[in-house]
Amino acid sequence: MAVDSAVNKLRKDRLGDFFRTIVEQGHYGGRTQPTGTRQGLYVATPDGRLLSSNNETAARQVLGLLYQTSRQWKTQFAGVAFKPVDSEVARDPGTRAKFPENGIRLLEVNRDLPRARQKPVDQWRHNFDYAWLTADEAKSFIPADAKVDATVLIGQGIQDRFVRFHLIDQVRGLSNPWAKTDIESSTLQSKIVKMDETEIYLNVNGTVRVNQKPSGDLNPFNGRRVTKDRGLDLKIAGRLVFNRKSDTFERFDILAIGDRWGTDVYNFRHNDIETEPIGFAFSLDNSKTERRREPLYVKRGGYFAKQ
Amino acid sequence: MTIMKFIFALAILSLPFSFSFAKQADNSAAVRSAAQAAKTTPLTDSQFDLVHKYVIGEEAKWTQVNWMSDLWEARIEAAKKRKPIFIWAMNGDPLGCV
Repeated sequence: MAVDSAVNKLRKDRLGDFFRTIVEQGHYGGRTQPTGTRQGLYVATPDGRLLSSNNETAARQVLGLLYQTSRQWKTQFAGVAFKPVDSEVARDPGTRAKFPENGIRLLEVNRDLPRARQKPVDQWRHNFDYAWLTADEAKSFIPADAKVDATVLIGQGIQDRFVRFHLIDQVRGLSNPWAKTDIESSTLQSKIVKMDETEIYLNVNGTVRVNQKPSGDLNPFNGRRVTKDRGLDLKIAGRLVFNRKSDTFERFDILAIGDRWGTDVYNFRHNDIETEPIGFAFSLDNSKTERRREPLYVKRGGYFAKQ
Repeated sequence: MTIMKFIFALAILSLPFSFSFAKQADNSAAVRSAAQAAKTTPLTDSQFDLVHKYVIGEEAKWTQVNWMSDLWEARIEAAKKRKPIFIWAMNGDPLGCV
């Protein structure tokens, strides 16, 4: 299973108690410096006894943890009957954002693009998030006068959401959202390029330029400070297909590509802060799993702001 | 699912990654060229598809694993099935970001 460590650590309910019981036995148990994080991989019994833990993402270490725990489980717990767990527990309500009814959910991936010179790009390094649009916001990409070549400017609120909360370099780790004042310019419009009785085909075009002055913040893990600007200069393109009969988007692919520079305090790009190409791709999230898919910054003020 | 089965499933799911790396390596020159062209001219449909596919990548296949996201439900199921719980805990939901 997969959970947000920071959220579960603070939950004021039995889920939080159970989570803390497990992680406090693990690799970061009791630690407060340089941070109080409890990130990592844990294997535990249903009654909360920790079997193994680490904070590794390399396949070899992950497999090692699983093999070790598998052996331990077989020798100590195979066939053990655990006490049944209460099926109903009171839950701390303040941990989930509400998905807008009939809205759309986009998978977002950001990744370095191939470079013309110097060191090769680590193509496996990428990060992802999810973007939410309300039903009305999604439909605002369709010009009211539905005919070929009709265009519509996309609302400032949607532009700001994409720029501030999604067009963020997260390839090497966490970066903070942009402040509204960091946006130097942004444009976004949609145009009908083809249509028939059933479908409307739209192309999206736009630009974004954003720049933030150095925060001076210190990364306690590597001792590096943010001493240079960070920013983006991107072109935006999109290919959308709206089905008029089902009243749904069949395709909602957006691409933002261009240059990035600098880094943020917890983004481990400290040795890679020169201007280099980056790409952000969005696509309808059609995955079948019932996992949590909130945008990382959905609870930051202004995510659903009109402008 | 036993841990061994889980490991086997992870190994199977990771197979497409190696193929995707090879494919990405092959088209990096075309992706770079399209990204460079986009600075001055709109992307053609084929350039758009090429770069969009490159950025989305193949790694998203791992999301097809039916990860549970509720610790209490995982605990109930583990107790019922007499299995251990494997927890992937990150700052920021691992299934959503960072």
